[in-house]
Amino acid sequence: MSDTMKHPRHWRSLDELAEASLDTALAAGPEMAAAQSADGAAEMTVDGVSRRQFIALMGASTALAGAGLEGCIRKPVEHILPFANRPEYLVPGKPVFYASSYQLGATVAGVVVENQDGRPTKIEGNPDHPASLGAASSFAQASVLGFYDPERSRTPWHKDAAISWDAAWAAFEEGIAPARASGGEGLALVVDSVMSPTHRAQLAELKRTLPKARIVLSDRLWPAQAVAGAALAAGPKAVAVPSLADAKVIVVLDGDVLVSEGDSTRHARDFATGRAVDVPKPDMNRLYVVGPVFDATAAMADHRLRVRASEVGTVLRGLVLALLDTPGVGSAPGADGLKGALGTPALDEKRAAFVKALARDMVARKGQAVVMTGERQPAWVHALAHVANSLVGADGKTVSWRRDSDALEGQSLSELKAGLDDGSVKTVVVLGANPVYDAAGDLGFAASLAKASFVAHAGLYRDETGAVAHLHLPLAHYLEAWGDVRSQSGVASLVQPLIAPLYGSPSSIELTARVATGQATPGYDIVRAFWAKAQGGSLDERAWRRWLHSGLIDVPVGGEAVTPSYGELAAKIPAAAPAADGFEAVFALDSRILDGRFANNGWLQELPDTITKLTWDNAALMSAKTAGSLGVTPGQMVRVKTAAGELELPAWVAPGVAENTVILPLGFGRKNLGSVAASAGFDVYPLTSSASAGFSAATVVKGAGFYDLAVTQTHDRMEPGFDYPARPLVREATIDHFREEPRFVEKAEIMAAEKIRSPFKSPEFKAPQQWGMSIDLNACTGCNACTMACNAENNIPVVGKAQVLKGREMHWIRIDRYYVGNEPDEPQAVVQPVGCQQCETAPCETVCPVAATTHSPDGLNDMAYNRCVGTRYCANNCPFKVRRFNFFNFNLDIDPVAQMQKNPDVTIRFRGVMEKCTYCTQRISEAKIAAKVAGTDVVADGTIQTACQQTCPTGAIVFGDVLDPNSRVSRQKASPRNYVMLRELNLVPRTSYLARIRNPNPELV
Amino acid sequence: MAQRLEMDPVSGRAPLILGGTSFDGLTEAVAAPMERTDWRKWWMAFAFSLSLLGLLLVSISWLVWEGIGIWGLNNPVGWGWAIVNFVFWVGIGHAGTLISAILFLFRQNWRTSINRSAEAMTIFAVMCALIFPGIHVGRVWMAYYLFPIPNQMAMWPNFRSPLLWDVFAVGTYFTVSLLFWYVGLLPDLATMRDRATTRARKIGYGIFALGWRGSHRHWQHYEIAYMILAGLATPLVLSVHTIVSFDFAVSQLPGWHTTIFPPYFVAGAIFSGFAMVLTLLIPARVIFDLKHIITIKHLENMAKIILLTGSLVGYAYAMEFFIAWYSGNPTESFAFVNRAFGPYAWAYWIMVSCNVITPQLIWFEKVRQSPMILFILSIFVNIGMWFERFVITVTSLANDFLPSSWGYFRPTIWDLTTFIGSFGLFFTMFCLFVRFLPMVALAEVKTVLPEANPHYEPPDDHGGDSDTLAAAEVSHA
Repeated sequence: MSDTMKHPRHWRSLDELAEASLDTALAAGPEMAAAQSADGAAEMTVDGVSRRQFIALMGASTALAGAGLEGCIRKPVEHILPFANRPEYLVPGKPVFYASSYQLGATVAGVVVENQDGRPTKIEGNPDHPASLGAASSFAQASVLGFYDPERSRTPWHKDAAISWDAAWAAFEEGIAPARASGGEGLALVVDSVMSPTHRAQLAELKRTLPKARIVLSDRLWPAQAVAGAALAAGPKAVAVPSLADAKVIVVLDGDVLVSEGDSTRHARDFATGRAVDVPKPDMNRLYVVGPVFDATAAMADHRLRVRASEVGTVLRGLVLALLDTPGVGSAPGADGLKGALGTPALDEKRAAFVKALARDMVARKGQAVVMTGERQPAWVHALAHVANSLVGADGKTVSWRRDSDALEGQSLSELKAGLDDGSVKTVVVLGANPVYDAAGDLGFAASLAKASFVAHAGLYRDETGAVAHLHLPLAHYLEAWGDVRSQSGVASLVQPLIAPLYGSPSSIELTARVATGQATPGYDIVRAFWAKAQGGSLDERAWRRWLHSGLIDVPVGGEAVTPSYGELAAKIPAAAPAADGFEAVFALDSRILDGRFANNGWLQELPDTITKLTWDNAALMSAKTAGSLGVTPGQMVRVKTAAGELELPAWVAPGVAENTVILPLGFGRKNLGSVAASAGFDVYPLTSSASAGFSAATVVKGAGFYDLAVTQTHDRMEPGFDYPARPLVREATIDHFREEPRFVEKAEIMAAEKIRSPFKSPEFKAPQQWGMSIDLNACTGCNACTMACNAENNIPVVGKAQVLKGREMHWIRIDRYYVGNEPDEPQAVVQPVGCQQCETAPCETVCPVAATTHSPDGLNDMAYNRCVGTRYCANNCPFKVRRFNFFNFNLDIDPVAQMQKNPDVTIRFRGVMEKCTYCTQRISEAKIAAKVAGTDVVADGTIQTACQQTCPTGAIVFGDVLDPNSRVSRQKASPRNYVMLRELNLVPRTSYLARIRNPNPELV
Repeated sequence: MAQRLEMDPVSGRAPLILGGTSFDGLTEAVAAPMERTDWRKWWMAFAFSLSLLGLLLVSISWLVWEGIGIWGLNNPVGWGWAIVNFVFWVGIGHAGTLISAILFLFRQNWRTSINRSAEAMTIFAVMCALIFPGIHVGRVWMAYYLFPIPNQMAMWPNFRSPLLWDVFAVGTYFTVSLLFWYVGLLPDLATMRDRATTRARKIGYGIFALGWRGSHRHWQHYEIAYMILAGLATPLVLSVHTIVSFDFAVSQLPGWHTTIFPPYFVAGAIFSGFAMVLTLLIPARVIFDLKHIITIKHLENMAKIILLTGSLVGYAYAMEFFIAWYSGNPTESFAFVNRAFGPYAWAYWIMVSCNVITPQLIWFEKVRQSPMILFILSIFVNIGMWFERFVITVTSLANDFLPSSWGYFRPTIWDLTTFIGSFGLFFTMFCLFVRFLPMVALAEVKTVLPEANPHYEPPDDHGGDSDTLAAAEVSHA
């Protein structure tokens, strides 16, 4: 980590985002935008920039620097990086880092964005932000690719014709002026999750000035059920924020809370910290997961109860009843009255034993237990979970309550539809949402929207809604817009642009201001004005700069104290019903593209799901037994029918899924979005119903034909079809076993250490520092953030579904997933990140005929791309199969805009060349150079972070000098759990693993 | 068989050349087909071979243009048909060298009828083989990095890599084989020159005959050179495939990392080579009416070598399994059980049936003496030996140490066209060979005629035939 990383610099020269930026840099596209950023250098790398264009750009830059030459083609807009008068701190080729914030639904994360010569290229977590703690999710990592997506909307569209911004604004004004004139009569503003205090204030103001206007919330990532559940427990706008930091008994009800749902980055960190066993007095937390989906969170569970989605509530009823019966349980206001409402849940022996043991465990760890509920479950389940939390004294400890006082109370899409149908809504302005695609299937929203007389849509893509809107406007990406966000826990942070808008697009807050006033107001002014007002009228410039610097707005969180009470809850709990027969369809956010917003992001499409290892598609996931009873094999089509609609999609056998349940990941089957999303998967939204968002009853029958699903593990037929001895690649033990036998990892070795001898001398490594890595499998959740960070850092190409089907994916670090256990449908799972192990006696090196891969003095297995002729012998001889070959020229046709994402410190590999993980050798070199300049040849521990390590939410990956006994990596490697894969081959890998420890409840073993 | 009872009057053994052919008759039998005027059938065969060669060129062009990805290779399986074909063709070459060099040193006179075509086959097979390591690299235009050429980067190739050894081994093999073949051709080229009826032939053969006039000095130098080259080629028979096997044996992949590979590969190479000689000569002896020169006895002898080497190969298969079990190494034993019962079991059992079971039929004399059955059998062996290399290369790669990375190899149409195309090159060369060069080593085969023996006395005619005298001198030398 460089100095700039520790102390992210903020922009000094970006003073105002003039409205001119909205008006001028339009159809001209990236060149214009680049000229605005005066960042000619970045654009010069673009193919096809002629000398003439070059001169023109330079001229524009000079003109900008000349400040305000009247009569120019464009008015001088704010200068972000005026090259003619280079800022003192800007060294070409040396990245600078800016703090910003990233929002996904209601989840907010602080990020630090790496800026290479004026181009944002890489996202890191902001170490100062409590929701990121330096880590970034795979979504945040991939968002930078989305920013440069060449298929993002670039120009406004009016009725199927691209138009200029001037014409677009005229049409926009014409469309909404009547509504504005009549106090918002017939106007509906559809927004996605609004976590921006500024935007919330704007919308509140809009409601005041245009009282008849409706504000509609449409966002699949908005935790509507959690919000409703919290409201049932503690009144409107109440928010319950769980924290795993001190939680010792964690119960997750049907939700992927460690990877893809909600504040997963923070939860994963806290969860992993709570599982530390190499500490003086280890007190491991225990994770219970109840639900139908076998996702990454379920794979981390110490105990998993496989139940159908509709039975999760039943189990929770049983748990609350069991808690009430458990001696020593705490009390919750109004909880006693619930007993009647809970009825007698139908739990079989196994489930009854589970809830009983769980209740005892929770009560034993009163104040340290927490129940978390996934968004698929209805509000009453969330509320009932809060009852359980209150009963075990979680409130104020593992669950903090606050009142989100400025929370937006938007109408639902059903209400909007009713308005459209009865003619009370005529004008619809959609900001960032895409209801035509993701509205519940039974709403028939598209048909209703067609009745509106004017529909304006602003979005990153001209998506399904944009295509039917009368007017489509490109929306600014968060990397090119001003803004702010406040997390559910109340932490506010700023969003600052890293580059002038590529296509001159406005942001949501700028558009909202347009709706309200008809005038263009720069987002910068809007945000500053809001915070000036919030600060009592004036904004201290020093404070503003401090906020920009750290990304965090250090104002008190405030808000009234909230205590839940459950007196009214009984009425909201449905009568206990026996489990229904038949199939259930569970609508899950896809672990990669979520609700479909990342459908055109190649990195995420090609990212294998942690558990299923599916890429580029979704499928109806079902258990082996269910597949057997349906008579389908993986890839065979099944027809799923719900009350809302029906659909044929391929089946995939996913061990661990509840019986008679199909898991249908959302977000696929996009039409006309872009070439990446084009043929990826099947749209399951038409099967969803507005009444029950997360799951519904369904019928499933075998369909006709097969479909090729690209998976990165079990490519094709992997299993040889006979039993073979297990291989000790991932090692694990229970905590008790670990206590009895701390060196249990040694027992798994195929060959005793003293028997491993070599007739050859060990190679000598003469550098003063020797790099190594340790990966803690006890912490790794398999969230894929490392793979994504590696993609961004190392310019790893996307190869496409056809190539993945052939087994040619390029990821340098992959997550291996192995199921554990003998029952195919009640598995546990372990995950293991595998990158190049940097063997000291690397087998790849001896076999390369041209010496293209050799060892560096500091112990790295280097790869000289220029020397490689591509015999692939190295990959054959690599027992870890981490080498990746460029079978085609995957980097041949990179769009000029997409080229801007590439990391200039890493070579783009040509076809026919082998590539692999380098421990981010460019980062090592940078740190070593910095150390040399500072007069030492030793890099301080922790200065170098590999990309995977830096972004890892759980801190599972540690990198450093293995010669220094006090380095973090050495200390981690000193753990008794430390082992290397395939030790019997005597390769002496520099990457070692720490075995996973499970913490089962003795009562349930 | 009546013919077999007719013994060589001098040695008292069955004659190697049947039908009481004289020196002149031999020359006529071999050279006349090359001088005939009706080449329609040849043109058909040549056009067919040439079209396959065109297919090869198209496949290679597309490969260089588009990338290795046009083949079915993937992440675990980095080597596929290209390497399989390489080993297959190199292996085939071995029979020719064994026949011409080792059997020469061991004075196996029967080799003279077949050594010319077998050697030609060697050259052409090695040419086919050499294509594959050349084109299978990702950046063909950089393949010269493999050669120890002094360069401004002061970079040597990596001498520890078996692939580099391959470059030297196969390069040497090709050079020595070519020289050996050419030296052996000299007297026959001169014969062709002397028989030539057209100017083009006269000049063409004249140039390549290097002024051979059949003088004593010529014969003396020739004999010495031939002997030295035979001596040089003999170790190559063993070393080339040993080194090819190192490509596998030196790696650490279960299924590749085995010490039995060198002898096993050499046996396999000779096995496949003899099968290919049979495949070529059984039709050729009929087409070119050479049944009296390439006799049933020749076929029988070759069949016996096939039986021997086939059994050796079978033994190696069994020994691999035994050692895999005996080593106690779970990944090693898995690799072999997986071969026989895993996803590639089909390939394994094709290999075993063709290579181990089929040759055992040769124990039966009827089989040995039936050209038709031997021809079919040789095709089986060819198929089996191709699959042997496929099984070794692909199954070991597809399922190695980390089950997470296991894959399955599926060839593409371009794998197939490249392989078929290499046969195009082989047969094109063979067509040119049979048209322009004597298929049988005339000078050598004459030495095994009874007439060539100084003690030979013609039954009734005591006249000094000049051919007889010349041949007699040869055998003295």
